[in-house]
Amino acid sequence: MTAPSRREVLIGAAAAGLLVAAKPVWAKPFDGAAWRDYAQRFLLPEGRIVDSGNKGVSHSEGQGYGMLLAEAADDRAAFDRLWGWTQRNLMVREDGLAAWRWQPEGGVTDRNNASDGDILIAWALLRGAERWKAEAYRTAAAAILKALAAAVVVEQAGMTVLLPGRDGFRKGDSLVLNPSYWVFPALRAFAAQPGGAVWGKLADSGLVLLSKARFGGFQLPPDWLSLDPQGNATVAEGFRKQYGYDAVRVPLYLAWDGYRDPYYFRPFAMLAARYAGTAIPATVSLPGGTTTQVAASVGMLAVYRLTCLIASTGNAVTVPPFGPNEDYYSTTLAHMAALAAQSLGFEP
Amino acid sequence: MMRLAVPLLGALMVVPLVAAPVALAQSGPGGRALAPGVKVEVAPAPGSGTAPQPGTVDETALRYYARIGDVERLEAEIARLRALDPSWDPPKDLFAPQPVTSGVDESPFWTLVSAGKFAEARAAIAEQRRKTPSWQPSAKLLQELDLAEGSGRLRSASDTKRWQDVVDAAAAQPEAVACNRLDNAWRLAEAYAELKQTDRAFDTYKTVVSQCPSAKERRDTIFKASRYLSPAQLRELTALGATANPAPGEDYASVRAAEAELETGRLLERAGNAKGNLSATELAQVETTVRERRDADSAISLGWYFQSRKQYALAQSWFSEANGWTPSDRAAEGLILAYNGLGKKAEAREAGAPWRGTSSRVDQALKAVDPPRGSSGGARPGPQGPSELDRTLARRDFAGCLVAVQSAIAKGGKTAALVQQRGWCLLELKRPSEAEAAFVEAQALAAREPAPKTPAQNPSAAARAARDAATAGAITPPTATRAQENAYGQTVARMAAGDTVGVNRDLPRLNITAAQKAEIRASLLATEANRALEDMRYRDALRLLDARKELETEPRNLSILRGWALYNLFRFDEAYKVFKGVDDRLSTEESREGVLTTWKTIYHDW
Amino acid sequence: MSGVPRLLRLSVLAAALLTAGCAGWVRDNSTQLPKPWQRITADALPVTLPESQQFPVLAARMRSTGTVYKSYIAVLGNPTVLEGENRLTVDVQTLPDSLFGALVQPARVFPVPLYTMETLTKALNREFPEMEVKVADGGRRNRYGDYDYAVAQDEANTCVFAWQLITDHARMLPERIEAVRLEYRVCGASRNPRVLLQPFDGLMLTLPEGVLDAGDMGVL
Repeated sequence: MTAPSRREVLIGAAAAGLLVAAKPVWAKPFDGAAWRDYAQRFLLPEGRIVDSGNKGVSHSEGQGYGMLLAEAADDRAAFDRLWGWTQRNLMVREDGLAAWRWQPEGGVTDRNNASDGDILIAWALLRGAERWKAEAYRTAAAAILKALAAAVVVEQAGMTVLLPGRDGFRKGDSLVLNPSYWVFPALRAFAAQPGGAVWGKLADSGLVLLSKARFGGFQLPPDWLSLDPQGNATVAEGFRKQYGYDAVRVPLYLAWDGYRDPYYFRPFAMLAARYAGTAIPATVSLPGGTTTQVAASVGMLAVYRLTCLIASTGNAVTVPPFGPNEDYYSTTLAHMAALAAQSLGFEP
Repeated sequence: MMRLAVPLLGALMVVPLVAAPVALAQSGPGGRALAPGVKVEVAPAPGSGTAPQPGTVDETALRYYARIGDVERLEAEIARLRALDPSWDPPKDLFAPQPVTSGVDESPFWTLVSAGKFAEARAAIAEQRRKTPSWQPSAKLLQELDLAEGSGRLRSASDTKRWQDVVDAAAAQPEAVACNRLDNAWRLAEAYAELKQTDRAFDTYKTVVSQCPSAKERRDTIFKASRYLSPAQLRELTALGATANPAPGEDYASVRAAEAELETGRLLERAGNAKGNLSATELAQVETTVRERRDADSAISLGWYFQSRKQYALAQSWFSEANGWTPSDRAAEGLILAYNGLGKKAEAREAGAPWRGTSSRVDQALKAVDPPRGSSGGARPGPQGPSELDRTLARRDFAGCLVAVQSAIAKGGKTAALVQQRGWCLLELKRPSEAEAAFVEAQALAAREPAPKTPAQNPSAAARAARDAATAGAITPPTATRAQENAYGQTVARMAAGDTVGVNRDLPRLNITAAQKAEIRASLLATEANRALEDMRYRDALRLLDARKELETEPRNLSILRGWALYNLFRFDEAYKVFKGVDDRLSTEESREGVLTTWKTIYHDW
Repeated sequence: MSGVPRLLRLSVLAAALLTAGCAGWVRDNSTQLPKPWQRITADALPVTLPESQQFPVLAARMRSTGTVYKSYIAVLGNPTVLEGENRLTVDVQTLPDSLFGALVQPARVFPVPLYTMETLTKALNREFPEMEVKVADGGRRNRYGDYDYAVAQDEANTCVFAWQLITDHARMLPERIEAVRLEYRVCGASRNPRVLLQPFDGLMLTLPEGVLDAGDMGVL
């Protein structure tokens, strides 16, 4: 592994950041200026979002997030550039899904898909179709949804679940799943489409799964879990056994979709409360509870702030301003949290 | 309706068993303890305060149970509410349809809770709250869910040996540790014991055996506790369990007997240890229990206890008892050596006759009776007392055997028979590599020695074989030749050194008898089955055990392995039968664990 | 780095699982269990012992656990009549040579630290039942640095048990090797434990990539 990623902010540095913040603030509301800044830093002219923390690769997740932000900022030109690049470079599979990763040298080297990337892209297309009254986007979205339903939506233990990619996530008779791939507000939008009932079922099962997959002292969901045929969820073998960069998106998507039950938000809020006044760790091992020496990034803190508001735990999380080199993932998460809060009518 | 007036399900059922010294996270009004030191305020739902004021008892669950006709739970709930507020009476209109006051009908959630679908209930509640933000689920519903989830947390922490988390989970959800959740109480006590808080473990066990009415559960608790408590504490626990709070219709005699059973097990274990000497009283106690239970395994242990102390007559009587209760080559082996120790060679041979040629341990023991030529120093045939080597073998003193072989070699020179005997003794001393070398050497020596007479050419041996066959009432298979014996010894040594792959490969080509081949094959299959189980290939484990069973009856430890393989394939009824069969013959911690776990899984009694 | 595995794992896992065939799946943890022992010649051991009349190498075996652990046992001569084999055990832990290997590692074949007082007492009771055992206060030193040992005695025999973990990457271990664990158990006729420890003091590791000595061998 080469240079350390910018996602790794030492605890000390983050704590210093907390001290200078005079009062609780959002990182920034998401507006036109925020989008222009984002596009300048991460959107290349040809239409791909660069994951600055990961050697400048691009992936379907990043394209999806980029399209969502462009749509929210009403920047149709950027949206089209992003979608065009995605079609030309990632949608090279026969089944209508996007290859998950593109590298500056070599292009697509692994043709597997990442289901959350496909979901984000389809959701952005549906939102774009609404905003700009463009049926072509809706048609494209419908094709992706059809491909997803055929390839990665499966039944296990009476639940409808989402494989993280088409290939390689069946281990014996168990499935390896990623709870943060349930983009709840997207699933609701899909369910409203003609023939979208399966997406409603997927969302329902997602809630059940999140109730089953609570581990350790904080009862947090793991980044990767294993679901056996009897419906037992365990922290997946073969992955780092932790709550971390993936699963932090779980409360974001739940909140965005209008869920309010403290039961679902408390684990994250309790983690934030436990580390109030110091730095919230970026990862927590499960079920052991060992925390990393790496602090949650600005984007993750933005998610925690939203989560604590909903869980009504009484603690407010302070979100420091972006650092000068805030990476792609942190910045994206912060903007997503802001979009979610704005759509819910929270004070930014 | 009459039943509602009857004294309702014992309040015992809801008495939390968390021992007094535990710092409980108390839940105050409107606050629910979720984790140590963290409290989250939950505004009480209209008409559903958690601290009941007179006249404001939460009747949500009550009405639900009435509506679905679950009388047992209805009674338990009435008892609970009465305990909270003695002035409260069940409403008269319990069975009348109720208007839905909050605008949300809770019964779908209760249906899921009743079915044990807690995650589904949580999901349904969250969905309802999304649709109806003004609605809050009743406190009773949340309590039920918290309790079920608290139990789950306690179990999973215990399964993964996170002992402090077990204690924390119990403290956060004291109701999860109760008589009707006995397994949780055991897990909590175990966690205390593992955390070296023995006093708290002891207190927890004491609470169980004095508060939970079932005699069977009290007895099981004492067996569980035996792993962690001192004999004195166990005595106190047994006394408490046999007397405290007796429930009508329960017979606590079995609770009192638990201590004696445990004590016998401990004494037998000590007896099996070469250093352990038992007092006369202790011996008498063990002997009584073993006779009462007609337990052949324990009788054999007692036999060896006396044999190693050269009390051959006592040893002989216990091996005889064992062989009478359950005939086995293990009992015969002891019997042969005990008779040999008494100088009764004819009886010794007779005891071995039924197993000769089919059991290597019996064949080995018979060598002590009629040592192979040369083992006592060579050409000195004729009647004489047992040699030093014979005596060491009769005592199972294998270190002494090496010394005796060495001195015999020093006196009369190396013979194939002596070196082979050295091989068997090295094997017993867990020195398989040297044993294998000895068998190889014995083979080389045998090739140079004049060919030994086969039984047919040896009139006295032939006569003996004929007599043995007559005694046994069966034709015994041909005994192994010396070359076969060496090849067999070599193979046993390789197995002991873990070279299963090599033995498996060479087995078809080995010059050993069919009976020996079957024995080695059975041993290979057992090793493979063990490996399959560890590797979670449960079907394979069964397949291998079945194949092995065709060759030899299944010993106890492999039956237990079979039980777990079945359990892991969700074939709980079959697993239960296997464990129960083993446990009925001789109850040990292993067999009890199997029976209990399977039973609880079948009856969802966690 | 944190983000890299988040996305990388997707393809690594997928690729690894794809190679496992199409006709259904079986659990793949067999690769993580120790393989059965295999006999090898003494020449194939990654260690050379000084010539010894009392403790010649009688047999050698080897097994692997996953792709990163290789364990070797040299069974040594035993002039006593006590239970148990005299032996030298060498466990070699290499670094995984693929990212997948790094993700899916078997459980350690030896714990670190090698022993606690509790596990040591258990091991010594197992090795030397019914003997008086004493753990040496000070360690000793061989070519690869300090090691600890215990001595067991009865009226006639003396036994030693020594253990050592080599993890010095700066000087001693080649890049590919993460750690080497040595364990030595010998019973003999001499009353002097030092005589019994001589083979351990004089042993030399002969792994394909050279392991260097601890450097300051002046004390030996």
